[in-house]
Amino acid sequence: MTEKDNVFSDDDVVRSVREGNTRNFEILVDRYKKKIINFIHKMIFDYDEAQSLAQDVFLKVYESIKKYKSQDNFQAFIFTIAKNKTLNYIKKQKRVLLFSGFLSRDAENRHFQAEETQYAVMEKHQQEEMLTAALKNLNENQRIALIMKVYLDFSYKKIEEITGWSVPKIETLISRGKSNLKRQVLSMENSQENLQERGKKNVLEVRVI
Amino acid sequence: MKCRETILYLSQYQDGELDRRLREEVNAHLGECQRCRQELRLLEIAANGIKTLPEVDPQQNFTAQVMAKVKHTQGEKTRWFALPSLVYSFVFIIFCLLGLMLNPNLKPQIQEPVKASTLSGSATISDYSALLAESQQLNLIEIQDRTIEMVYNGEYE
Repeated sequence: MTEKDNVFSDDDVVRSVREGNTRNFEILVDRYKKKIINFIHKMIFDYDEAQSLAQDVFLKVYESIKKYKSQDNFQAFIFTIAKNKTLNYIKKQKRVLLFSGFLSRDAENRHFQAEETQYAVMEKHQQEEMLTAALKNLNENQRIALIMKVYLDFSYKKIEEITGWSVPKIETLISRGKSNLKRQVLSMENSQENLQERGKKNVLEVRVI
Repeated sequence: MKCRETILYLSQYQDGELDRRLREEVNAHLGECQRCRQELRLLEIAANGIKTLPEVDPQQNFTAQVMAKVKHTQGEKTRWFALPSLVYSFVFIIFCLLGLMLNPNLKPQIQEPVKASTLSGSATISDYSALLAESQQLNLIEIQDRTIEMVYNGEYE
């Protein structure tokens, strides 16, 4: 993206693309690709899928660019498509898991897997992974609202434009999301401390023996 | 403002989404309540964690791949709407014609004309009534008119 490209507003570029200058769509892709990929990645935690979904998002934006009304908020337009694509992907993944019998077959194992993940996270002593795990445990709507507010720094009003949810609903989702996140991080930290204490105890016992 | 109320507003307070009056009230409460300050700090740690998560970079050829897909879509549109439109119109017309030709309900049905002789001679009133009913059923207005005319003219015994 050249400096010259930054001079044009989103609406200018959209107008130009509509007039047939398809190549200018590249400016919009370059302008938004990082934000869109990171938004999707923070929702699904899969780098390759995030790249692929983001490409679909831009393709959809191109296909429906005629529906975009000038002087609307292009950012809201593109993030609405990104949100819908991401939620559809998550729904599809859940369905795939359900039909493959994962839930019934491994229902018992899931607890242990979760515990294993938790221990793995604790072993690595990485707050980053703990947060990712905590974020994964939030429901999709809380995650969307939180990522839009905290990571993308969108106002409640803009989140309302993108998602179609009312401001009170957004307030509740964000507030509950933060509380859940806080609770999970705290419980993980407590488990980590317990593990460390247990580790120290074991070391002492070995020394005594 | 009390703790219970303050805690409800903490998330919005942190996001800078409270109006001035409420913000000042929360501020005042936080100034004197350590428990609520602690709660706010925990919320900040949890929320800011999202900001600290590492960002991923787009693949190097991301834009090129998107643009290739865009061009491909354009090409498909051209193929679907410009070139075969005539072919589709032709096929559509052929199907319509075949439908018309093969539909048995649309075959012309030849109605046997009612012979005038049956309405004349030594016919009785009941014969005429029967004919009238039959003609009504067949919706043959012409015959109805003729029958009524004959009844009027006294052409029955």
